[in-house]
Amino acid sequence: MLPCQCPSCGSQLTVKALKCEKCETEVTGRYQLPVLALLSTEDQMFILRFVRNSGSLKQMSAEMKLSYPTVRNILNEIITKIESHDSKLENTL
Amino acid sequence: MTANWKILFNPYTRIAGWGGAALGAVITVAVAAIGWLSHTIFPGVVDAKIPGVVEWWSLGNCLLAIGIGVIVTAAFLYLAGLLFSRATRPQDIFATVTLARVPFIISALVGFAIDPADMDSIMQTLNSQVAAGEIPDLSLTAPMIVGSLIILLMSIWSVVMLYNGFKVSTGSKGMKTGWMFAGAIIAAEIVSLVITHEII
Repeated sequence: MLPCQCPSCGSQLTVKALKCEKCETEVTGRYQLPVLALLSTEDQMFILRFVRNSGSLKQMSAEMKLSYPTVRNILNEIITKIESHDSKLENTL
Repeated sequence: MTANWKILFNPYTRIAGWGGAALGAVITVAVAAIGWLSHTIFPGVVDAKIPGVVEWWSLGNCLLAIGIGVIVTAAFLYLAGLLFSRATRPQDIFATVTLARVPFIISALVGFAIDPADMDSIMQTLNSQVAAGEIPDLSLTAPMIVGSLIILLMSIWSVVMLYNGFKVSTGSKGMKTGWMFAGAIIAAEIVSLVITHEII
């Protein structure tokens, strides 16, 4: 799993280097992690499931064996987290 | 095991919507029917009463009393829910209120252990003892006290279920949830009891 927070101080990690497995080219710099990568594994899996179900919360609730309002509340929490990350990014820029 | 215990107080993460409302309606009717047989009535939001020996209500009136409580509670919780989220669904609120009647099955069964005629006779005995200057024999009231404690615990369980259902149905969090819930419940209790008193 891609770590997003520093294990030492808890600050948000950034990407420093990316490497091509085929030609060994290495790209270094300072890149922000995409918003989706900043979410927890559970939240990312939820978003994947949301897309696979074409955005149907009803189908997701049947699949996850949870009630519709529970699934909707999980989605609302993820939306709030994404908006929080977005506002932090805007403040940084 | 922990998950099973959580379901007792918050089944709404698994059951909601029209399915939950239908199941809850069946439970509500069952509570009213068992209560009619055991001389226990359920007016208001979370009230459970065993009246003394008076002209007993018909099954229809027992159903009407609990129905008024359910509808008025659902209406006030729905209005409170809309203040949090316009996406609050009435069927989720209705499922919340009706499924919260599950603990009253036990309250209704407790009614079988308490005979209204015995209650009146015990109270008359105690009153006459007090009037005669004697120390009243409170051990006579033991079944009533135990029954009342059980009914009180079931009412608390029902309120916990109502609160959890309200939180899930509205997606609300924080202190504001508690205040809105309390306000809705108090208003529903007053209105439902007034309506019940006027109609029945």
